[in-house]
Amino acid sequence: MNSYTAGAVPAGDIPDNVPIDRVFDVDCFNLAGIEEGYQEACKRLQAPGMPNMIWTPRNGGHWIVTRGKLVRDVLNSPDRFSSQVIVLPKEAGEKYDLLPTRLDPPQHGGHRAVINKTLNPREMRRIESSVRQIAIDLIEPLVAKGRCDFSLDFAQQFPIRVFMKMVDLPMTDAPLLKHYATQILRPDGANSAEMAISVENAVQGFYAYLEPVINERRGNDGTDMVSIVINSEIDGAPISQADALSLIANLLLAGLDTVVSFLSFMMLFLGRNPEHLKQLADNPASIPQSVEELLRRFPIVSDARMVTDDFEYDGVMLKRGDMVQVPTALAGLDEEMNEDPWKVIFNRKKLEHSTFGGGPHRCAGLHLARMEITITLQEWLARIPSFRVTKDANPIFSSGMVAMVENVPLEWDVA
Amino acid sequence: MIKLHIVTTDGDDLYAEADESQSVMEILRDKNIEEIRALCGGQLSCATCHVYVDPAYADRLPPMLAEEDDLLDSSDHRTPESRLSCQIFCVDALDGIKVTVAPSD
Repeated sequence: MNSYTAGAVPAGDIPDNVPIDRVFDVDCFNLAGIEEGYQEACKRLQAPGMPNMIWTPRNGGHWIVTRGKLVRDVLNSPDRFSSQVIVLPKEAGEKYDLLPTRLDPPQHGGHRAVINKTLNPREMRRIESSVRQIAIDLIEPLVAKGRCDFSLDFAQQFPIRVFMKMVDLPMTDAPLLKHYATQILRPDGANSAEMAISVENAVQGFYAYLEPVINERRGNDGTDMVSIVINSEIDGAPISQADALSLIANLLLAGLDTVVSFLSFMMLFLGRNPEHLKQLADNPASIPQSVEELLRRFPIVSDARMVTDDFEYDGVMLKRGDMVQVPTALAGLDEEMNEDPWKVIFNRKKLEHSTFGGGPHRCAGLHLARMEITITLQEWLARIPSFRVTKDANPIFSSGMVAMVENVPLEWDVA
Repeated sequence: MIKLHIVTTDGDDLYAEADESQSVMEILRDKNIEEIRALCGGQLSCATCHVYVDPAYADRLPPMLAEEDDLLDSSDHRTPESRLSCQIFCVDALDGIKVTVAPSD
């Protein structure tokens, strides 16, 4: 595995507070080695000899934490590492004003409580059977075909259908919403300014789409997520139109992208590792407890925090307004947190990861994500217990705030 | 090492010994208690290791974090004695603690 070299960037790009031995040429949207896999490319940042905290001049210039313990610390220290801007490059991130993502405690709590109401485990138990049916309806037509592109034919369909049902919006609108989500998470553009325009257009597109939906459901007694949010109170007052728009846009954004990606990484792994696949297929009762190990092994999110003040951290001086990228992959895959982190061991006694982030902004949809992953494995393996990645497969990985893998061709023997 | 007294949902009494490196959840999981699914593996993010702690031990338990409170709120079986057992480590002060397994949600 190649490693990065300190100081290998043009000197003029480096601010005064950044020591040269912390400077590495890292493009978070095009990680070196990404063709081998996203987690593998991320792990290069944690190669022996890499400092705990590094700085790259790319994407507006930002810090990156490279150890699991710092991933945890930054996410758990909102007083020092603010969520006011969480998207890189900062210039684009400043256009991303979705709630409650960009709020810090204590303002964050009231908005977060509204989101939690729609995504807590009780709510998940209520919708479980309809989510299961959506999975079954997608898998059954594939069984007799003997092959599919898992990413295209299932992963990109399932969480979106679930989410469109939860918000009670028509499936015909899903491609448009998916487009907006992609432009926020992996914006088009050759530079920071162009990416900022892509993000802003996508956020405005989301709002224009949602405004009439919100207006129609305000004051109704609907049980869908949009109705629950817009008819909520925050700190004793009815939620404002602007806040409702922002909260719901964020729910859509998160629901339309992350699980899509995770499911593809998971099935790529199982299609290449028949002994792991067999363990799950032979013992379906073990599936719910096995999901967490897969979450640990395949982290995909890497957002950022903004430094609130000038202070020393890991031996360097951070400046107010500096951006710090927090690759969650570097927690679950850190040898300091988990023994043999590359190995998938379904019955690990102890496991730690930050795949759902941490601190006040820990993923509000984690119960939904776990349920979708568990149901996918249960219903897929009940119908297609043995499958493999095709010999000519050429999966394409990309990095960004949410990493992706596309082209996951699977095949299986049809009885 | 401390002693634990576990009461199952069927009312059976089980006994175990543990040290402070272990959480009550890990002990219950090792006993294969069906209701203790412990899906998240002890990371305070799933609410599937729910127990009732004997009130005699209440003031010796670690304080409840907001996350634990939220997760317990989503159980249909919450009582004032409810805790998530992944948050209770088997420290000396808890010697003899009695925990009753809560029903699955």
